[in-house]
Amino acid sequence: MDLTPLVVSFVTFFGIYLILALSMNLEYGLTGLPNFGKVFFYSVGAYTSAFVVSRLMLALGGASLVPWSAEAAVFREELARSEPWLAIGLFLLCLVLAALVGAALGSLLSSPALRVQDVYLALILLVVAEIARVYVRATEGFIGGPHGLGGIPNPFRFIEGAGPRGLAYAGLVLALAAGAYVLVERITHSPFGRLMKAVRDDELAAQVLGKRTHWVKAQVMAVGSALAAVAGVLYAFFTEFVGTEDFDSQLTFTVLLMVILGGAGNHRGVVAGTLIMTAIDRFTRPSFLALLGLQLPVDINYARHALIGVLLVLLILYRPQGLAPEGRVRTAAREEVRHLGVSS
Amino acid sequence: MSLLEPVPLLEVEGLTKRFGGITAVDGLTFTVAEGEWVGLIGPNGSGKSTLFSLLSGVERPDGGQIRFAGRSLVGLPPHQIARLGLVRGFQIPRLFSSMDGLENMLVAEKDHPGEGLAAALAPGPFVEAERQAARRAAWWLTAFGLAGQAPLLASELSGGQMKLLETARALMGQPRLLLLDEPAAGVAPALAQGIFQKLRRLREEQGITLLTIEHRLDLLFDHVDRVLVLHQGRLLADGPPGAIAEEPRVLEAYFGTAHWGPRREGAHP
Repeated sequence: MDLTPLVVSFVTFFGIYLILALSMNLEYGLTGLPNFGKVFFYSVGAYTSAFVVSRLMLALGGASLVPWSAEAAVFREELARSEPWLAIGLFLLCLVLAALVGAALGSLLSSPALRVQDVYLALILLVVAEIARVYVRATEGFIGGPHGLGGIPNPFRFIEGAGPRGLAYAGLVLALAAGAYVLVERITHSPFGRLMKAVRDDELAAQVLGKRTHWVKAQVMAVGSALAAVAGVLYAFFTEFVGTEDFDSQLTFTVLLMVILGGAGNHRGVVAGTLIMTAIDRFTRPSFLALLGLQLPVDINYARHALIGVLLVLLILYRPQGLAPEGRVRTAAREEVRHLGVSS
Repeated sequence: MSLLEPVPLLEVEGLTKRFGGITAVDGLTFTVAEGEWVGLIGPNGSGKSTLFSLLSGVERPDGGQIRFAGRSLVGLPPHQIARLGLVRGFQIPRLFSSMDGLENMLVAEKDHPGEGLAAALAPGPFVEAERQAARRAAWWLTAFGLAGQAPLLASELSGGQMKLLETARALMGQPRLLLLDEPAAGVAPALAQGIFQKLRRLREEQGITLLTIEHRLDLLFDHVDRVLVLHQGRLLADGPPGAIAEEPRVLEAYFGTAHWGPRREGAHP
């Protein structure tokens, strides 16, 4: 029994979900911004990749195919196999571009927070995500539109064999997720992170202490959305396909559950929450059960939702604060006034 | 006003605020001089807290002018007003409840160069600023007897300690004019006197100007230079504490009758 595909898919999805969950923790857990449009910023990364790759590869390869045609997809896969540096370069370009587009859209979409309360901001962002998805699905010619777009070649296309290629990519995703972890930890344990928590706890109190809270929110949304877009790039290059059905808002709430399960405000807890949720998500697939030779009397695709629902209810009943409590902000200030007993 | 007289730090002219059919602040005009300590009294609903919200930019006036250090404040957002040096406290303390005493203080650090996103990623050059802020925070916490509360979450403090921490936090913001809404509420009487003595010392040492709401008149009258009396959004009286205590209209607004009991001489040290 070859477990490689299972390991690859588990590690890759764990890495992608972790980046999403950490970005959600930054926004919702620490700053109190309920970004219910998380999946939109994720799809921005995926569609940026699809757009860049489909247009640029044809142009660089000198082909005049319709970008979303099957022939074009095959052409791109072939090109990526024969030109490793082109494939890797395009992948890196997509990461950078998606992060920039994500950051710009994130800060832009933080502006409703100027006028409305959190709960309305949540709904606005949720609606933005749904409108975007429905629009793309209904628009022939918009980066694949209703058909989706295939042939987004894995940057490691040049590696022969799906197993080693998948492992290399999973390793890359995990490395980027680790980078995201370091990034959010740094932001959290800084004077800026302290200000984020102040905005969450009492925005008005922060304002009358001279803090420009809307600017704090815009910056946090920019960073969070850039991270989500990066996760979207990783997803697009993993599945090598982008289509609207992958960007249902249910993903937003799965990610939110990872944050709540782990403990809002605690990144280490969120890693644990993501691990648990990814395990549930990946191990309740018909393909996985078939691998074990298991035959369940129920359709596992529905049982998964029931399982997640039960988990959420138990969590709210017995551990509403999540697995790990939020810690203090650690900056140089703590050691400076250690005598006050604050060095925790 | 002659040229020799200093320009007041705060000038309020014809300030008006309506909530629906109720005029909470009704054509209020007064000044506060630099270095002065002014008490603000009046029955419940007389517009004291609304006035604080107007001065700090939390509410927008329907009419009138506010000038602070020669600048008009009307229309400025709260954070800009705070950065000009007008800092307020709230009647019910608004602390950052999931953060400890030290963190609450550090948020108030004015113009902290390390408080940006870029500084979070490369903190090196800003470590000294953070350390300096920590020393200032520790100094204020100690001054308010809160050193032992520095590691506790704000939500774990007693009501009186919350009030003290909020006052200390406002002072951490380096105010030129500090608005305090019942700084001694929920604090034991002996401690209340101590808070007012502390504020008096701060004013003498640092030249802070104070505008203070307080219901315990005996406490307030011992310390302030001048008292403003609000009644139904209007200025009922403006004068030194001695004169205000004798003013029949004030007594009537406060107690309904013009009867002012004998001052309890033993009530304060």
